[in-house]
Amino acid sequence: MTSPYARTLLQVIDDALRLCNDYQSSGSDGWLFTWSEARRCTQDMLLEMVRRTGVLKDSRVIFLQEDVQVYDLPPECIRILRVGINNRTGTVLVPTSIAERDYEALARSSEGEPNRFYRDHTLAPNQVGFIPTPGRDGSSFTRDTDYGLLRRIVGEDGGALPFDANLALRRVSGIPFSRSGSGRIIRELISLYGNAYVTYVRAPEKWDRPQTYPDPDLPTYIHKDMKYGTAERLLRGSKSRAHQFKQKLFSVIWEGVILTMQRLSEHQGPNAGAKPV
Amino acid sequence: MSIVNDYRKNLETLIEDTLRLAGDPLGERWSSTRAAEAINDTVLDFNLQVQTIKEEINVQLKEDIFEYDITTRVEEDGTLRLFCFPIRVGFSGRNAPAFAPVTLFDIDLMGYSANVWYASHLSPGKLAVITPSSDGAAAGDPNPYLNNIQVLFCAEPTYMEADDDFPDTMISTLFHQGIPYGAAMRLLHEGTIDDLALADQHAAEYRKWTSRAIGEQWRGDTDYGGCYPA
Repeated sequence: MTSPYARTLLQVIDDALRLCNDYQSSGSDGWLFTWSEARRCTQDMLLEMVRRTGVLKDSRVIFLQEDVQVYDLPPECIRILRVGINNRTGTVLVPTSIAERDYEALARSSEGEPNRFYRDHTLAPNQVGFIPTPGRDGSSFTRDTDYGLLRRIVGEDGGALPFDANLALRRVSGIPFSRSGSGRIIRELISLYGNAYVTYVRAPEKWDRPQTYPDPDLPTYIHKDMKYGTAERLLRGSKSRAHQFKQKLFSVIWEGVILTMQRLSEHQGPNAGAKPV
Repeated sequence: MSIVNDYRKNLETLIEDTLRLAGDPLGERWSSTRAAEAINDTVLDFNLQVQTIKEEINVQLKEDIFEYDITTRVEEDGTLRLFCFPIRVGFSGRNAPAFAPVTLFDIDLMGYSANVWYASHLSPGKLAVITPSSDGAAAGDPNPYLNNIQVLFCAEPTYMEADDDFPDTMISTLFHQGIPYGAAMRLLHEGTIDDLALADQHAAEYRKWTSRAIGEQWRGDTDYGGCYPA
């Protein structure tokens, strides 16, 4: 069910061009700004909004390998929020840097169970390193009991997959398990034990097609104000004094909008008034 | 004697007020459709500031499952207004103690703690609880709230489409007259420098109305008083 307050890309750009006094007809270029310019501005606005506010988050398991210190982050990762090991309820890793170890004249790599992570300038922007270097591979599969009742199926990201234990066993896409013999259940689950669990700010899905809505994790209540973010970016290139005035006004409005969204999306209820949200 | 609801404004009246405030009483610059869209956007904005429209949903907890997507559950329910953000997470029905709000950072610093919830490391629309050790009651159980969470949330207002639709019933009639200021402001942003000056006046007036509404809505002066919406 789509909220009546949701806006498609077409609607946002039409409204933004209206704010720029450059609306001709729905989906058409304006006299000053083209539709594709407006679309680029909308995409830039979305990415910058998420980078600043960090509202879109995701978690992923990084499978650790023996003697491998540095790993690629998921391609949609903008910023790491938290790194843990042995699933999300396991130990949290604290951030460090290679410089810290260099000052203490410690070897860059020692082997063991990681208790720190780093993401400093010795790495590429999309990489993360673990210290000590993992001394063994993280679990990849756990073959469980031969007998018993299958209660739950967990995906690679640690989230439960749809499964009703009261119904007949079903194959779920991507999760290997098999059933053989009378009442005999062999189940294979991907285990998070010995692996890193990374929570991060993720990039929004690219908003490209006119009739589509923005990333579904973005709250619908912000859609109505996205036109201000697009318009203030479009107007940055105009020499008209009226446009420059509008650009300043809309950038102030847009700033308020994204701060409100950040505050509301991290809203923790009336008892959390003292939390730094 | 009149009752308060005699002062309610329907969409048609709100459109007339909005166009008059935008200096376009005959609707020559803005159509009724565009004015209605601005009015609905203003009602949503008003609700985000005042947090007056609320709903509650019972979410069945599952053993060892942390994260719950509230937005999707509310959509699937079909009878509730749509989810904006959580306000309170109750547990096992209205009379039991609620879960306390924390951040994951708190848990990392102070350790694993039962009966808390957080949204800090999740995308909007989701929340996590720590931690169900068994499944909560299913929908058909005599007490469907037992060992489940009840999420009280700020919800989207009902959308006005027909001329005789009224603003959401949970928005007090006292504040219907403030809505056209916000809507006119939104329309005037599309105009000239003169229009922007008028929009600025309406923005100030609209802010007054939202401030008054916040004062009314949060007048309880209860223990929850520390969390006024900004």
